[in-house]
Amino acid sequence: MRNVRVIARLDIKNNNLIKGIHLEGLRKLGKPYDFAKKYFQSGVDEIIYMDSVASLYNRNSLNNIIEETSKNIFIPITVGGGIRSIDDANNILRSGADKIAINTGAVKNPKLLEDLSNRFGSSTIVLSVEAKKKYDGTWEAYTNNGREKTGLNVVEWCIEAEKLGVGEILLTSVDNEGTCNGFDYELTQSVSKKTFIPIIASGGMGQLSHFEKVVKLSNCDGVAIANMLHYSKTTIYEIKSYSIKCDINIRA
Amino acid sequence: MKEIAIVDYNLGNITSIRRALSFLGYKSIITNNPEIILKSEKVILPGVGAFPTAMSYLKKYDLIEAINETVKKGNDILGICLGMQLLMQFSNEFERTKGLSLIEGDVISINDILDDNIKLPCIGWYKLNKTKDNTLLKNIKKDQWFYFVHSYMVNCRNENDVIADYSVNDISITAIVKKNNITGLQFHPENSGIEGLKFFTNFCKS
Repeated sequence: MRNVRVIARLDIKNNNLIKGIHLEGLRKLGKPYDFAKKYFQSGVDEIIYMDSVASLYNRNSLNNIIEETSKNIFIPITVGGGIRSIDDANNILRSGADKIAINTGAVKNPKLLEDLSNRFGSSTIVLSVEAKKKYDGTWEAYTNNGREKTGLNVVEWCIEAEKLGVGEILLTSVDNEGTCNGFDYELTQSVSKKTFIPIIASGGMGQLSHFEKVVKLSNCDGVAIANMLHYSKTTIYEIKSYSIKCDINIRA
Repeated sequence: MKEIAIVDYNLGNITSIRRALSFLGYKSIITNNPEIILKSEKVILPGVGAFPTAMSYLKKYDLIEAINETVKKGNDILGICLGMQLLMQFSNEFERTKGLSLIEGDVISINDILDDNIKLPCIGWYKLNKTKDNTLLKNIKKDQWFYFVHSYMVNCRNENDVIADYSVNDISITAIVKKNNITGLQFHPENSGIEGLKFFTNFCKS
């Protein structure tokens, strides 16, 4: 069986770690690097930095944070927000990121996914999907922190992105994000069933049992956690000890 | 010690490797200049990317000769992930492509050897199984976890070249190869926490 990754997700606005509900109503929590370092020292498997306003303003301001992080934190760092071109991606990788996550840029120009995968390798490219459930039970992909509709069906979009060469999907439920009510298990299941690349479930974890449920029900490969870690409602150690008790394969 | 040359072939996370070396106090230079590579006693062939693209880049910038010369002179070379796979004779990634042929064997898809296909790339932290005694593993505790991300794997012809492996679905996947002054790591020591950094220390000190 696969080994599941515990991933700390840090959403960033103007150099601050922020946290909202449904990706909106943002609160400042502190310096992203300080949080990342704490998680690294306590054994987190991976870090995701998401610049939450980069897409709106067509810029990426994360370089300094990435640099500081990669000087002292030796686990994979994925960075997303505002990546529109090969040059943007190269810039972020040269700052010290290991993978890049892309949403708006890919929706506007799906071929970019192919170009990025060819240039940097599939395993460097993560498709970031912000999913909202529709009345008919399907999900629509959004951009700009769940604000803008794309008209894309999430499952179909993920299948297409896999064909274009992405190596991984960060799947965020906008409906559940920040609510602490649990993941959108159906969403994660639906994408996982139709794709053959690793899926990271994101949005909604409020208790340890949610972690177990999403891993066991949806066959996801990683779980992104924000709220519970940033507000110290749990620790990496607690999550991992719990997972081992539940027979989930995990790096202890 | 002289600067360590990190061969730049225009692909993935090269800066991470440089930062890891500098954290340990080693100077390095990211370069695609064959002359700098030839002058370096330690050469790192990093790697996240596709095999054919990487080989054609190495060819275009006259880096294949520089790497061969490095090995012939007895200088140490360390291939990481794709960099390790490039050391082999052939790869089946996309199309059958000739590699650097410094170690006998080829590169195949992980799913070529599994009965039940797994999701690729295989991404995650795994423990090494069998490890032969080697200076490369000095001070590295048994039972440590290392970060892997790959879809293709090395298939060595000569069992003696394999220093360690790891398991996915009970299938053995080569994790470390070593032949004289040539070393390859399938996992990413730069992404494998403090324990991973020890591989760089051992490589730099050897």
